[in-house]
Amino acid sequence: MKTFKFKIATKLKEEIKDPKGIVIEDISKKLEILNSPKIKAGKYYEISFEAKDKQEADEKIKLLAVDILTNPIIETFEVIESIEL
Amino acid sequence: MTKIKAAIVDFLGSNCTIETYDALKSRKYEVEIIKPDESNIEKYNLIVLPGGFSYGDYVKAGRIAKFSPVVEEIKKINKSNKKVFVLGICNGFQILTESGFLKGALIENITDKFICRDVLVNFNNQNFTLPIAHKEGRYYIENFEDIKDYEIIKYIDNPNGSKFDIAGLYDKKTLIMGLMPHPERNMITPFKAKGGSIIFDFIENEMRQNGII
Amino acid sequence: MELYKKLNISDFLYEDIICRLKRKPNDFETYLFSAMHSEHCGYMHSKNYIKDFYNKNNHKDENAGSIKIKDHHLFFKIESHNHPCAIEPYQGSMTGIGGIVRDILALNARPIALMNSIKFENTGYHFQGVVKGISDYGNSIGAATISGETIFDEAFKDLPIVNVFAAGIVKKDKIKLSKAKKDCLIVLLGSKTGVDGLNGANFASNPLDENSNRQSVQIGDPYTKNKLIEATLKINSSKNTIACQDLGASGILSSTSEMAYKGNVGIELYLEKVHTQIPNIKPSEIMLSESQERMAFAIKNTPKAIEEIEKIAREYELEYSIIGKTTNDKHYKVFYNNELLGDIELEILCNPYGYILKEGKQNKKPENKNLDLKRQFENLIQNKNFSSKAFIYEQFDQNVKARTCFSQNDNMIGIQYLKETNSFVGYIIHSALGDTAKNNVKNTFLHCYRSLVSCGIEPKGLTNCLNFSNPNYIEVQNDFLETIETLKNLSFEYKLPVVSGNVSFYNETKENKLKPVTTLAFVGCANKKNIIPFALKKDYEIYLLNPNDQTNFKIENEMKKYIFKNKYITCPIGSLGLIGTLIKKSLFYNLGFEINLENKEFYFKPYLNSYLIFIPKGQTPEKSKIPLCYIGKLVDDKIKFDNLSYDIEDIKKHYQKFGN
Repeated sequence: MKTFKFKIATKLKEEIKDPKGIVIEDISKKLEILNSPKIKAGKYYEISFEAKDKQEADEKIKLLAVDILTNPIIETFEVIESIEL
Repeated sequence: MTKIKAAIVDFLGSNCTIETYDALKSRKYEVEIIKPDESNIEKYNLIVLPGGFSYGDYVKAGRIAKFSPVVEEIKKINKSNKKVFVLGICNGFQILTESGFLKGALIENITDKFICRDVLVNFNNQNFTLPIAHKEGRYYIENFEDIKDYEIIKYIDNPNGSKFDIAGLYDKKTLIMGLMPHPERNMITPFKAKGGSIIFDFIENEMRQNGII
Repeated sequence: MELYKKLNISDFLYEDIICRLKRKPNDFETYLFSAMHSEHCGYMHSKNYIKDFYNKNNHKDENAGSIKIKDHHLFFKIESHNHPCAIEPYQGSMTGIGGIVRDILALNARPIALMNSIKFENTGYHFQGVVKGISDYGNSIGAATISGETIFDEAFKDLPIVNVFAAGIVKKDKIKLSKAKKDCLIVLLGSKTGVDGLNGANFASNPLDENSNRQSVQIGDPYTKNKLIEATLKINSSKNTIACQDLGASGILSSTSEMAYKGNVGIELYLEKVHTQIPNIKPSEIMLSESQERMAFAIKNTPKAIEEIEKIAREYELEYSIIGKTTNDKHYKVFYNNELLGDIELEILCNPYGYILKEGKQNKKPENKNLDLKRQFENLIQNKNFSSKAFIYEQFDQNVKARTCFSQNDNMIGIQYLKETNSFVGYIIHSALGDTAKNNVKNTFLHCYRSLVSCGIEPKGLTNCLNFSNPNYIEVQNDFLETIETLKNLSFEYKLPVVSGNVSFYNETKENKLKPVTTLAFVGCANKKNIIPFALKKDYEIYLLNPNDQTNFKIENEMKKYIFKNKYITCPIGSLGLIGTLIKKSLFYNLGFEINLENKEFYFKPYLNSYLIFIPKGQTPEKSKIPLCYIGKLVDDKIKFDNLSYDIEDIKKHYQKFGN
C-alpha cells in the first residue's frame, strides 16, 4: 500500500448562478479592489489515504468527489494536485 | 429626563431590525433606523448592530459589513473622547469581532448546524434565559489573557462549543458589547420570558455611569 | 422527432392546442405550451375538482388565499417541492421556501410564518440536504419557522416529500392583486434571468428518471430574497403599482401571461430588454427560466412610476428591467429585437384542457395484525418517528421577528402574536399516513382542528397540499377523487374555508409509486385570555375526553366548547397513539405516567378521536356533556400501563436516538 495526497476543489458549474461569488464581486467592485471581476466560489479539500497504486487512488478520489463532495447535476470538481507520499 | 437616542443600523440582509426597534421603543428610547452609509452617528447615545445575515453572510458572517462607513465612524468615535454605547446582537456581534472592536472570532458552531434554543446565561451575578439562533456563534480566542479585561456573558450549558463558555463580551473601556443571544426577542413578546430586559437595565446603567445619559 | 414530443406534450394535448389555435403552433409557441399546458402550471388533472371546497375568501384566483383578522388579512398557502428535492435536496428545499414566500409577497403581505412537512426514507442524503436548505434559506429571510413535521418511512424511498407553508400579514386596503390593467408597463425586478431551473414546470409534470437533469435545478439566494421582500413590499404599497405576480414555475411566461389573463387585457413582451445572466441565452430559455428571486409588476405607464421603481431598486441594490406593456387585444405577443416570435390568445395559453377523472377500484392496505401490548410498545419505541425531532427543529429559527409566543421548542404548536391586530394566531401542519386516502384526510383534518382547539385557538381556515403518483393510473384517480370529496365534505361540515391549495402529481420512480399524502395546514385565531399554554407537572391527573372514539361535528364542537370554557391543559392524540403521544408530551418535562384503559385497543390506536386532559391533583374536573374518564396520573420515573412497566431512563435512550 502507498499513501497518496490529493488537493481537490469543487464549485458550481460555470452556467449556474453562484450567489457567494456575486457578493464578493460586488464588494470588490465597490471598494475598487478589482476591475470587472469574475469570481466563482468553491470549496477546497486536502485528502490523504492509502491505495494500491496511482490508478486506484485516482479512481477512489473520483468516487468520493462524485458521490460525496459534489452533486454532479450542479457542481464540478477539479484535482489541483495529487502526490504520492 | 431626556430620552435615550438610539440608532439601529439596517444592513442589507439584516433581519432583526423591526423587533429590535420595537424592543428599544418599549424602553421609551427615541429610535431611528439608519443605513450603513450614515456618517453622522455622534448624536446617538446607543448604536445597535442588529441580528440577521448582512450581505447574505455568504463569505463569512459579518465580513462584508465591516467595510461600511458606519463602522469607520464607530472607529473614529472610539479614538476620540466622545462616548457612544455600541451593542452588537448576533450578526452584530460577528460584525464587531470581524471589525476588530472586540477580540476573538465567531466561527461555525461545533455541531456544524444552526441552533435555535433558549439558553441559560450568567451575567452580572444573575442567571437568566435568552434565546440563541445562529450558525456561526462559536467564540474562539487562543488565550483567556487577551480578554481578561472584558466582562463576560457566559453560557451555563455551552450549546455551540464556545471557548470559555462565552456568549457575549463587554468592553468597559470602549463601551462596546457583543452578544450572540437575542435580548430583543425576550422583551416584548407575550408569554415569553423577559430576560432581555436585564441586558438593557445593565446598558442603561453603564450609559449613566459614563455620562452618556 | 417533432419538437412537441421532445417537450413531453402528448399527442392528445397537441391536437387540442391545434384545434383551439386553428393552426399549428410554431416552435417558440410550442415551448410556451409545453410549460403552460403542463400539469405543474395548468393543473390539468385537478382543475375540474379543486374549486369545490367550502371557501368564503374572496381571493380565489390569487397566489394565496386569506382569512380576515380585524382590519388585516392573513394570507397563507402550502406548496410542494418534491421533484426538485429528489434530485438536488439542498437547492430544492431552499427554492421551495423561496417560491411559497413569493406567493404571499405578491399580495403585498409581509411573510411572518413558515412551516414544513417533510418526509424521507431515512436520515440520509435527501433528509440532510432538505433540512440544511430550510435552515440556510428560511432562517435568513426574516419569517419564523413556527412549526413543522418530519416523517420517516420506507414509502418515501427516492421520493422525498417536501411541502412548505408560508403566511403573511397585510392591511386590508393594502392588498395587491395580480390582475393587470390596460396601459401598464411590465417590470421585472430581482436576479438576472439565467439557465438555472429551465423548464422546471415540465420536469415536475413527469415521473423522475435519469433524464431529470441539471437544467431543472434552481439555485436559491436568500440574501437577494431578503432584499426582494423589502423592495416588493415598498413597490406594492405604491398607488402606481397596479398588479404583482411572482416568478415561479415557468418564470416570465406564466407570471406575465397570468397577470394579463386575470386582468382581461393583452400583453407584449420585448425579450431583449430582460436582464440576463449569460449573453447567449435563447428567447425560449428566457421565457421558461425559473431563476429564483424575481418578481413581476404591472405599473402605470408614467415617468413617475418608473422613477419610483428605479429608486427602490437602487436602495436595495437590485436590478430591474421594463420588459413589456399591456394591450387591449387579449393576446400574448412576444418580440425579440422587433421580430414577432409568438402570438397566442391568452384564453388558449392560460386555460389548458381539464381531464375528467374516473372512480375506480379501492387501493386498500391490509389491516394491522393484532399484536400484544408489549410487542406494540416495543414497535413504538423502535419506530423512527417516535424519536425527538429537536435535532431538526432546533436548526430552524422559530423566533425571528419576536412574534413567536410558542413553538416546537416549547412542546407546542406554533402560536404568534400579531401586533397589527393585537391578537394571536395558531398554526399547525400535518399529514396522517394510514390505510386509505379517505381516512388520511379525515385524520389529518381532525388532528389539525384539535391541535388548535387544545391551545384555546378557534380554527379559521386551512390550506391543502395533495401529493399523488401518476394521475394516469385509475387507482390514483380514485384516491384523488376520494381525497377531494372527503375534504370538501369536512370543509362544509365544519364551515372552515379551504383558502388555497396545491396538487403534486407524478411522484413516482421506476421502482416506487407514492401512496397518497394529504398535507393540511390550519390557521386559527385567539385573544390573549383564551390561550392555553401547555406545561405538565408531576401528579397531574390524566383524563380522556370522549373515550368512545366516536366523532362527528357535534361531538367535536362540544369538546371544543368544554376545553375553551375550562381551559384545561390538553392535547389530541396523534399518529403514535395514546401511549406514544403521552410519552412525547411528558418526557419533555422529564415525567412518566401510570394509566389504565378499559379498551386495550386504544393504547396504540393512532388518531383516537379524543383529547388527553391534564388536571392538577385534587381538582375535580367540571361536568362535561361528552364523557370524561379518569385514566391515570403523571409520575416521576416510570411508564406504566396495563400490567407493563418501563423505566423512563430507558425510554429516553430511544427518544433521543438521533440527537446531536
